Amino acid sequence: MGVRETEVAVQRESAPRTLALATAIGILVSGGLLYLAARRVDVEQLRAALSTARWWPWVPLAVTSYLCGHLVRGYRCAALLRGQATLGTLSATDIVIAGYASNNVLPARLGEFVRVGILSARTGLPVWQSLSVTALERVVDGIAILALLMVASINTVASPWLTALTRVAGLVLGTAGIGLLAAVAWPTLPVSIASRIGARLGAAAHDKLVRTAGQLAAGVKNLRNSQVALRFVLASLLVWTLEAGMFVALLPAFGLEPDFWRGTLVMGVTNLGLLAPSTPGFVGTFHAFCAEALATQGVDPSVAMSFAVVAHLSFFVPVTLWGAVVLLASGVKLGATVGAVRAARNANHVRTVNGVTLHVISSETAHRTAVVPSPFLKSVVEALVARSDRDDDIDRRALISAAQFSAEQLAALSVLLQTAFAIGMGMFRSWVVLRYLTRFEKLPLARRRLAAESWAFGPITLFRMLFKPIRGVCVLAYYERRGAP
Amino acid sequence: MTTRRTEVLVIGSGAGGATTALALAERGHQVTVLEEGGSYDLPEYGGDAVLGMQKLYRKRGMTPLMGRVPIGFVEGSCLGGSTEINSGFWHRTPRETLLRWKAHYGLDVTPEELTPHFEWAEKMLNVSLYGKPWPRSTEVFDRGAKAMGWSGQEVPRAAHDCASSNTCASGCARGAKQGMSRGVLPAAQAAGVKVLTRCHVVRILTHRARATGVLARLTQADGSVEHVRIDTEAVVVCAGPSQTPALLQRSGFSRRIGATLLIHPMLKVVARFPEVINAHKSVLPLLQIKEFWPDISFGGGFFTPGHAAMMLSENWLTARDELDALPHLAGYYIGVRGNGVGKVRTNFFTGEPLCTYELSRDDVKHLSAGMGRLAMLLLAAGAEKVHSTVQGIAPITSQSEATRWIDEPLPARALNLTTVHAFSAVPAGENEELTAVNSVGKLRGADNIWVNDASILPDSPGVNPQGTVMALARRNATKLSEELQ
Repeated sequence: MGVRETEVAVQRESAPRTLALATAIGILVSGGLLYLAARRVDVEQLRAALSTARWWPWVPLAVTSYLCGHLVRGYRCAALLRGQATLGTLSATDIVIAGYASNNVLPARLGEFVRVGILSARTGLPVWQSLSVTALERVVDGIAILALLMVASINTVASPWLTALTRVAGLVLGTAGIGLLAAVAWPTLPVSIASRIGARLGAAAHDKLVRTAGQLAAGVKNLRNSQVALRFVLASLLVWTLEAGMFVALLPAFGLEPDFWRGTLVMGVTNLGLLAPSTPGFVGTFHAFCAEALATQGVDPSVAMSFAVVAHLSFFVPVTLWGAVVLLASGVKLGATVGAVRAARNANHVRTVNGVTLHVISSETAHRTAVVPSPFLKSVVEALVARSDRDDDIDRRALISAAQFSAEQLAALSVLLQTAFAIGMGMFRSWVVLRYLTRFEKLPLARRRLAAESWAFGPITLFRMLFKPIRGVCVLAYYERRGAP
Repeated sequence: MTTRRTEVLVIGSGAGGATTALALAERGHQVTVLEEGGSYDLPEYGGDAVLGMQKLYRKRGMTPLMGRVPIGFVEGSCLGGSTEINSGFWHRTPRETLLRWKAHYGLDVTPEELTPHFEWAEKMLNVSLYGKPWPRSTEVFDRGAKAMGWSGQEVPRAAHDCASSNTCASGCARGAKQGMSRGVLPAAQAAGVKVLTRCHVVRILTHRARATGVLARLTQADGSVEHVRIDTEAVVVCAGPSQTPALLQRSGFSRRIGATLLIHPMLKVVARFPEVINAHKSVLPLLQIKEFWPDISFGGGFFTPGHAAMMLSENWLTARDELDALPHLAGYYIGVRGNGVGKVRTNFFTGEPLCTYELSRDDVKHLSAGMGRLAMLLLAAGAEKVHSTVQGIAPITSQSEATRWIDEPLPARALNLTTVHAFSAVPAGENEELTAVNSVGKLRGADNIWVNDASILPDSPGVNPQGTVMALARRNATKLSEELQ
């Protein structure tokens, strides 16, 4: 009985037709929004507002703030990929800018694919993973915008439609945020759920769902490091604060008070509006949402529209120019890049390993996280293995080996047991500080032994249980490496 | 697109998986084995206990069974599974056990039916007695058994030409011990079986109760990971007592899966003799005392400097100085036929099994009586002291102290127990109220999924289970072959 081969019909996505449809919808939406925004605008007043606007120093200030936001985006992207790819902040900024610039000239947010393509080419990351990084940034961006918008709406004039917009966006982004947190906490969960759902829908749908879930899981992998996660969240808030800075800086150009929360509100509404399909460069959509948000704050519609026009230019021109330079310097052909990325995204690779046929659904690069014993753990191990108070009684090589082994063993425990151990050690450390008025690591060996032994081998069952994971493991490793006396 | 569909996927390469793969391949089936762990050559075996745990054990050996008394549980996670790290002790299934399984669970298998499969396995693995003068740790054990008038006999092992290197638990570097990677798997590969290592099966993909393939995570040499789909016409799950039920649960099967995990709880002791034993330099004691079988058995455990320290660590403050007399120490165990309540549940968020086991009153009673009797035996053999792995229990130095524990139960919460034998989480038989698979391992509620490892033993065999697992697996594979054809 040999390997059986089955012909499977595959439905191929009709990419050009989908793109044309997305473009048409974008143009329609943009046109409609532009009409809605412009119908209350007096053209003469608009011209007057534009001509009387004070461009200096407000527009350069606004552009600077906006571009600084892109630098932070670059830093954020590089931080997110640390350990997986070698990417400096400036290179990452170039890639981010190239994506934004491409979105300004291509329909249906195809710029995101350009960015994915360049990121992949520059870093060697799989296309799937580059896509997931971009998707992750989008979700966190949305949450950051929403957070700022909510604070801004408390500090500005409320309006019913703004409340409705915030609620809808909150629901969508809140759900995405919960999904994101789940993917960070339990990286295998999205793939497992996707597979469970997809298995009922056939192989092609299964693979597509699993691929998407795998991308998400791969993208958020670095966020399991609490320091990286904190940096990522703070950088995201800074990005949108700087973008709000662009809107705040433009307010005085039209004789309006440079109120930070008002500028933040306009930034938030405008950017949430950009989630809707639109023309390249968000013409129409940007203007409609920006002007409408400003109008809710009692600003004359014509002035609001003038503000929107200038804000859009500040948003569009510098980034498009910078992006064009990057794209030219990189020799990137937009169409080819987009095509390659889309093809990679949809492809189902079949390959053979050791004679076994595998349908490769997604892949992620190696994630190197070396387990290093903390100074506290080293001190605990030393206190537990030492058989006298004399430092020179200890075999240092065996001790280092035992501490390293203990750290790795603890990292192999289930999350539940790791948490229980961490809580237990937290209790122990607090007790040491209260008892000896200093940290455990600072104590001389004699006292450390006394403290550790009173818990690990003492009369209180709970304390002994808390030390159980480390007790046996460290003596096993120490005496195994030290050998027979 | 063309898809290649393998005929039978065997998940796991331990005693059950390797035997199944070979038996099916010999009957002309196209078989692929998926193994979660790595594949190692002989030179990579035989390091110290620390290295062995890092390389060959599931989660580095940090997979305790949770319960009011946590029990250390280890299993292999490498090509060959737990057969690479066990002692190689070989028992045929006791006739009494098979008769009980038939009467209680409706397991439709007779001792005569299994005989040719035992003969095949014993030939394949070169099962034999040690054939050389016993090491001292065995001699003193035998001396004690004779002094007590208890029946004890050398147990044959799948370790022909054993050189007494004391590295069974970290892989036999001489290749004397016949783990599955030595004989059975190479024979299977010669018969056409394909093997894929570092391939963790996430889920079995099913459509209308029929397995169509599996979703797996394949780890590359550089640490990168791919999600792959492997299509198949039949699946045989042989992933071990914790992973098999977890995989079935992740794949949507729950009826009688994971609800009946059983183990052989083991309590260890360290005996100090006046004479030099050098147990840490020789193969583990080769005798097993079956005087109190089926409830209680005695045997010898792996004994290295690290193991000695770990065993003494329960009473470290009073016992640690014994390490200075390491050449005079030897380790033994009390194994009981557990009848507590064990379960394997799958963590929804991580997909990992959470194994629990609650000791029964009988378990504690048997462990206590066993400890008393084993101490009596060791003292009769000339031991000066017997240290137990029971926290707070002073070393036993006289027969009168030892007899105390024959009638008095040890404090359960103070026990430090381990086990290397787990089974019965997917019990087999025709009694549908008590079992999850039929007598040949076919999963109820699925058309083409079989289970063929230690999970299907209906309850405790009371002896080292490798022989039973291999004989049943080969017998079931022949039935499966008939059904496939």
